Amino acid sequence: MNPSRWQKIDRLLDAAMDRPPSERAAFLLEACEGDNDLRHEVESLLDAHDRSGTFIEQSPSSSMAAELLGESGERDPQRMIGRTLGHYQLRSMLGAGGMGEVYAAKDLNLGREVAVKVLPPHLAAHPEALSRFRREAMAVAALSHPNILAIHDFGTETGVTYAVMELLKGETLRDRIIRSPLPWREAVDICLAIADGLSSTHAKGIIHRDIKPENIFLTESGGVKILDFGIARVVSGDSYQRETLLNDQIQTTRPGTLMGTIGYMSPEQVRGEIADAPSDIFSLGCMLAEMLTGKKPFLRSTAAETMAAILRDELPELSLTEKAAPADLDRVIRKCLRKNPAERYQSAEDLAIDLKDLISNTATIMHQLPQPGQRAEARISSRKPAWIVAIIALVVALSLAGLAAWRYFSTPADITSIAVMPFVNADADPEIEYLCDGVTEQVIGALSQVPKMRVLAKSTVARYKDKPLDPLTIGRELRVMAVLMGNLRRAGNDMAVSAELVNVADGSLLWKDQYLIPLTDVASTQSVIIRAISSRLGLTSTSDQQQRLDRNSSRNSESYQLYLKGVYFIQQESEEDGMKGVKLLEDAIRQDPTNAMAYAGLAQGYFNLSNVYMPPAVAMPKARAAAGKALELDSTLADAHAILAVVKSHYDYDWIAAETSYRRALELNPNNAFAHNMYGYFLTAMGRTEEAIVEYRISAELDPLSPSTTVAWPYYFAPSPKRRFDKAAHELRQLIRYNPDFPAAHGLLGLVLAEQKNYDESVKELRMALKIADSPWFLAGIGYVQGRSGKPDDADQTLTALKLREKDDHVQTLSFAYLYAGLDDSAQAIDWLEKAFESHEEEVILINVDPKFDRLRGDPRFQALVQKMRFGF
Amino acid sequence: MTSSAANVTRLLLDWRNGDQHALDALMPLVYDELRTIAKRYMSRERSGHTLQTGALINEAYLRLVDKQDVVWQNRTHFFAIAARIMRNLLVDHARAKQMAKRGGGALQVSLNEALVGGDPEVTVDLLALDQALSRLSEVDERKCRIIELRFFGGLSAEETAEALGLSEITIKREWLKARAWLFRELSGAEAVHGEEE
Repeated sequence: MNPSRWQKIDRLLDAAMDRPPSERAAFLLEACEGDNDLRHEVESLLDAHDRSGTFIEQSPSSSMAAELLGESGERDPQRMIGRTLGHYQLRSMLGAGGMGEVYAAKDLNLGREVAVKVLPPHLAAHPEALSRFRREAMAVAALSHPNILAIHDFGTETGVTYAVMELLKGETLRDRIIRSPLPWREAVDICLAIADGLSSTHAKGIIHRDIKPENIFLTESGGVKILDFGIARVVSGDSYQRETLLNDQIQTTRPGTLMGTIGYMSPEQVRGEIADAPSDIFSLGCMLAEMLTGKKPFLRSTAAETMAAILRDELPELSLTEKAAPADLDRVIRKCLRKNPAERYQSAEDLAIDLKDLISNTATIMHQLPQPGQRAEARISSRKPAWIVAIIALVVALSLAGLAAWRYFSTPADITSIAVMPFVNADADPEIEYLCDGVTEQVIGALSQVPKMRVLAKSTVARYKDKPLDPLTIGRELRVMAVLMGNLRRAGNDMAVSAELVNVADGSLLWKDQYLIPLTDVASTQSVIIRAISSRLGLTSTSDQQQRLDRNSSRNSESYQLYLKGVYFIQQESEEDGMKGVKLLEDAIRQDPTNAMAYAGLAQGYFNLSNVYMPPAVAMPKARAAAGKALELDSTLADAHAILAVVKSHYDYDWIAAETSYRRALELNPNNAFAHNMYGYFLTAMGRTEEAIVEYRISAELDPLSPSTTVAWPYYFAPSPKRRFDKAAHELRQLIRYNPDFPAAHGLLGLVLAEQKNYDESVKELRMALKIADSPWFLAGIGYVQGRSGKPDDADQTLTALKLREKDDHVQTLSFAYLYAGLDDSAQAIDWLEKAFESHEEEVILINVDPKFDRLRGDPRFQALVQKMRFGF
Repeated sequence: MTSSAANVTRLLLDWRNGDQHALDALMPLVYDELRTIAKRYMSRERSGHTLQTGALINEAYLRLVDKQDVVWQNRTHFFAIAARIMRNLLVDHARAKQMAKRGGGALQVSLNEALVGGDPEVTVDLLALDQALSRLSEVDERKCRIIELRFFGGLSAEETAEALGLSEITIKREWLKARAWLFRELSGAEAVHGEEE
């Protein structure tokens, strides 16, 4: 039945029901105009209506759904054991994680051992996700390929949803690689088996997207199985667009996985683009290289560098330990690892052909050729006999993008990401408000120093201040593994501090404690808390880090309190607060001239004021001096290095020195979202768009709720072939949806739309920006667009308005350059650009990538200016 | 206002604006809230008073949606989600019971077997109803919504009208027509199946 037919029926049914029963037949006979099917249809519905009695009048025992809900939910794993789901009796637990628990179970019908993965209840109640999961599980199950983990069954029982899989005995390829690099022949065999499995999934449009040694299982009997089609999705028709969007979200917001799997990502994945079959080939190539050498080919010390290496670096010479390895092996690997997906093997089959060739070319010296996917018995026994037979059951496919954020972690020691909620001022005592913020910030700062720990930035967690908090909801929203919550309260001359750390996976309390700290000694609060958390999480901190932690807090309590207050104020928006913060920090330094953190805070304070409320020529030298002093006292302060880097790039235009400082800051604290963001800005200016995008993405990952981390910047400010106005507009629209009051997003969107020649919308967005934040910058933007769109009179008016603003505000010189550029008045535009350069305005560093100045590029004076800035591109 | 309230309100808005991912994100949030409330009631009131499904949904709405920013469409979408959750829950339950009876394995669902409900006269085959409802939604989404809200969500006609922003009279008429259609589908009488899909 189609909807229009149904509408007809529905209308007639209405009309008939409005008439007394006796008249209905005659009415329908006439109204249906000889369409007997139609008439029968309506009549049968009328008949059903008459006979239906109390059919579904009563809800299924009106409380039943509520009761079912109340019974579902957190399950005690112990109580699950012995329970039967469908016809699977759970015997023992094999593992647990954010995605649920895995049990060894017995199939009571067939008598065989299986693994049962029980999904967490919040997924089980998620029909869209569930159906996608089911669809994909079925797609994988339908393959029944020897190299792909088999899914036997799938079911739901009173709110418990589970997947039944084959139970594997053996170890992961990761375990194997850790012991030693593999002989080339064994590595190639494993690779062949995986290629075999992938070619069958690729044929069905299923891309794995997370091929890595952890996801390859070597069974005791010599089989090779691909596990966890975790982020795989079925590629088909209209789901394509959705998929890209989803992946974009994963790339920017999904933690842990991005970091954890980063070494195997393809360039297109790093860029957040669509990953097709060649992406899996790339990952497979990485893995083959690692099997042979024991090293991940693109692994660098930080995530950003690793991502940059994936995008840029060629594979180094493979140092194979074996002499017998065929020379062609290197060629095959290199072909897998081409940056351009079109240059790689286009299918897993093509790769398999080359791998088989490798084997057959050397086959004369082999006695027996193992079948692909089946490694020779001899090889198995040559493995160390003592290796532990791990019984691991696996999770397949959780294609639930956003929800799949959590990976396995069963012990607190596996916690690798944490959100520190703003400490709550329990009695709303105004006197200690700044302390709450300060302690929060200090704890974040100190935890950021812990190796391999991702700690969300303060600007993100600050959104949760003064809101009733449910740690599990927050943890899921922010996609972290643990949430730290605490509060402060004054108790006489002491400060009562209580804090607790909650495991987001299951809501369990990892740690909780209370301290009474004399008010005169609040400086020690953060180190007490950090030490307790570190020991609870089994985090090892070197004595060097411990020292740094101690040093970071001044021993002088008064100075420390002034410092906390100062930092609180410099982060506020207004000029008045900013100045107050600077003054407090100066007081803190007076109290304790060795307080390195206070110097770093002061440097940040001046930087925040610069360009907005204070001319750079005044603010930046002060920022530099303070940062330098901080580093003199403590050369390991990442914050101070970051500010110094910013001064060197935004003010000195000394690109090489700036990059060194950025890298140093990120080396000392890879979690410093500010440093990533500023480094991204710097790379944008350098025309290194791809690397800039990576930095912005990392920054967004660390600071997901901060609007300024958008990759729209490098998409807009880029050398012309790299510009992507469509992507920039898309990113900005997304951003505006969630942050409708972020003025810069509207402003930048306005400029992007102008480049797309959508001038009306462009001006609308810029006016919106101006309405939210009355900044001359947006006014200049409007003037630029007016000029560009052929409305010079309007632009002149805007120019007058802008000049008027100069009386009360600090108007950036560059603003006038924008406006004149819009009017195509090159001479004036360049005059102002030169002035901006002389006064070291920070956005001058973008001139070589700024679309607004494109028409000036041919002008010799513009070229001279660019020369002077020594961009090198 | 809690952070999840802000979140739910925002997601409802996104969903209304056509973002299907918003629905994916909403489901677990709403589910968690419903579950939390249900659990709290059940632990508090061990016997006697039972928690009505409709009351549960109303409470969750009050807790989860930011009233500052409320538009009736938000209300509609919220209730639709909650009712859908209840529908899934009941249908899954019925399916599980049925599978247990058959010793599992058989995924084909025989109509008329999984029975839910205390009063034999109003016994309904939930699985068949679920399937019929899915067919109905293909041609008449609104009727499907109304059935979900009233039957699975336990809302009164008045509450349903409010949730959907429709008059109570419309709701009652739509309800009767949808009920007739479903009754015919389930009783298998005189149905003109020939032109189905």
